[in-house]
Amino acid sequence: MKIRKSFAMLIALVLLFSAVCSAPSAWISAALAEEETVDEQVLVFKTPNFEPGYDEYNLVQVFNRTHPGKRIIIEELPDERRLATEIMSGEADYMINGCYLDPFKYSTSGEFYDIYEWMDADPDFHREDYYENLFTAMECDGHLYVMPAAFTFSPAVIYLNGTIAEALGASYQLMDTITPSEILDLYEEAKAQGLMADDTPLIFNDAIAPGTLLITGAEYAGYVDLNTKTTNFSTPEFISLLERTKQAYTEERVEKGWSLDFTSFSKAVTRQETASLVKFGETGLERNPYWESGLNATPDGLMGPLVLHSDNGKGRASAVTAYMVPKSCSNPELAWEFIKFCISPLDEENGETASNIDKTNFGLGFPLSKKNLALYAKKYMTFTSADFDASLTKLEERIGEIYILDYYTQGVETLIIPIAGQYFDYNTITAEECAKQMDGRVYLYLNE
Amino acid sequence: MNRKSRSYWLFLLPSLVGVLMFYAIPFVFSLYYALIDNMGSNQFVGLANFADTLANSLFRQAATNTVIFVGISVLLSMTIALLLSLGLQRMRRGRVLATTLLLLPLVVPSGTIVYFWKVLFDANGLVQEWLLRLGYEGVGVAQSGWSMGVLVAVFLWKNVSYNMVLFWSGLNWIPKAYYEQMSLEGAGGWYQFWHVTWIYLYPTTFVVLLMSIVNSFKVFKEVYMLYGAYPSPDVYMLQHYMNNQFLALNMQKLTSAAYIMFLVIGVILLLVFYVQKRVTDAFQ
Repeated sequence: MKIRKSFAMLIALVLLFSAVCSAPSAWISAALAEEETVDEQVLVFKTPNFEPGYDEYNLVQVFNRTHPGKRIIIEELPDERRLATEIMSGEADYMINGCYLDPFKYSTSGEFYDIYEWMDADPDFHREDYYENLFTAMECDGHLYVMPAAFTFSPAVIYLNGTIAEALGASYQLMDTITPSEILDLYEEAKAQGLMADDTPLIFNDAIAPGTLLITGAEYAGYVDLNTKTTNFSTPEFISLLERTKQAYTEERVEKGWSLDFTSFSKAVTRQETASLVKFGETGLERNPYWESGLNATPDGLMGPLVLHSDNGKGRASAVTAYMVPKSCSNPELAWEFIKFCISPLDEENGETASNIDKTNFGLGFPLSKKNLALYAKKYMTFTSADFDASLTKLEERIGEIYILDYYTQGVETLIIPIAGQYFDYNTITAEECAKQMDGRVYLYLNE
Repeated sequence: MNRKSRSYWLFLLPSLVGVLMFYAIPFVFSLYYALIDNMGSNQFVGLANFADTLANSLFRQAATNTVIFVGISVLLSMTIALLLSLGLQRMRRGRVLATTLLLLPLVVPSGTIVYFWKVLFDANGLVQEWLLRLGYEGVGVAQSGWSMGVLVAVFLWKNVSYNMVLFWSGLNWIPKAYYEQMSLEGAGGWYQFWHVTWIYLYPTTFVVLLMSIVNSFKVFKEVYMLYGAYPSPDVYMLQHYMNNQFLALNMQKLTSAAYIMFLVIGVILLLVFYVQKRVTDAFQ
């Protein structure tokens, strides 16, 4: 009898404790609900860039101002474990900028809306207004679970040492493409002609092995097929590229870390202080204060910027952000409206201009919308009026060649970089073994 | 229920609650996830997920690797443990020191063991360094074609001593008088082993077999720490498959694979129990 009483009291205490603990959140929810007007549609948007000053924050403010009766509440994105738990338990009543999720990994869970379905069902949305190959680069089994809001070519932009390149008779124009094999051809020829000393590193001022950059910078895109989920690193071409790249490896690399600052390369070449052949750079719209030159201008002493492609002609870019909408989001219509607002062509008839609303959105990125690209190119790039159309056409050509958005394949890169390191840095595996390991591990990742 | 059985249940209750709450009930609930298409739409799809999992080439590859690993490691760990326990039993001097050394891996956490192996055999490990200093080509053993071998070695190092303790305790239960009698009758060591030691070790051997199988399925922690979530396909185990599905939030693939594995292990264990009973009955 006594035990029964004690049990009853214990249960009562537990219930009382949980009621007290949950009360404040219930009061807060009630207060928030009262705040919202009956007709107002509300959506929570979770992103790491949730504070004033960030483009995403500004974009939310503009959306709220221009869409009466609709409100986006911007909040901080929780850490990945908590996010995954909330998504799995059906409590993720929000949309996210899943920039630190691996979208490819999550794409098969069925937990996210297929944005293609929204695009197709929306008469106001026209795919042809966008660079559709970027959607394709992010799709999985024909579905689009992640909407890239903007993208850059980083780190697949190359500047060549103009002195050496000209001496070798190379004549690349602005925004031309260049492949790892072409870079290695130039490098080998420069060494043969004595234009580069034996201990001069291929890449200027970087601690990163050339292999890592050449392979992961562009080349891997040509050997991974996301549609068929196959890889073919173990081809004679790729193995030969690995071996040739290793020849360019030198332990005398200047240990200054990874940097996209090509102006120091420009100065060093101009002052004849370096005979390194290349410098990796970054390019998007010219909004970065670090940059003294944009995609359309060649820095002094250099040749480029050139867009790095794989030897079989496939381009790679980086998605800047990623909109994902969990199926537990209670207002997917508003989520789609917000996504559409962020990526859609500027509505000039309603006063939207590149100056007053920034839909490129996230700093360095190119917009997905073709019309916006032209508007923002005018705003940010220093194209002269004479070559504007030609430059824009060339830029669009490069964008049209993008085959892989590395954001979507970060898992692939995470796997191949250490394997490349074993070959380039530790000499513990042969080129064949390196390629075989890449094939094996990436195949597992893609096909699980 | 009488007072005695009530007290049994009372003592069992804490662990029973834990097992029910954290293992049994979630496992039963997870069957639901194996029968729906995904967590978003929750549509019933019958056994389609099981069929997909069985048809998945990576699942089959993982299952094959797991079977190979279990086969090799269980056999080796039992054989080595038996030899070591027999050796220890016959040791006249230094038994305490030898036992302590052999039991050491058992008390060292797996993480430390794996770290130790990595320091030795990794691409930039000590062995690599020595080989290079001696003028040999570098071999990153852990990353080479020896990855399964390294894994078996780590497993043995960690688990042999546990099996050895079990065998040793089994050996100590065999009456010495039997050996003395057989010696007097002129039986050699080999004959004594087969006709006394092995017969009396049968029950222990089944326990060791059972524990070795269970432990070999728990090797994931070591494989993961050595090779990561996506290792060389040679050492891609069922636990990799399931762990990666969990991290990808794909509960359908995860739960269907877990149930298939549960059934297979269940059948193996039942088979072991059945054989044990038959053998014990035959001896009695």
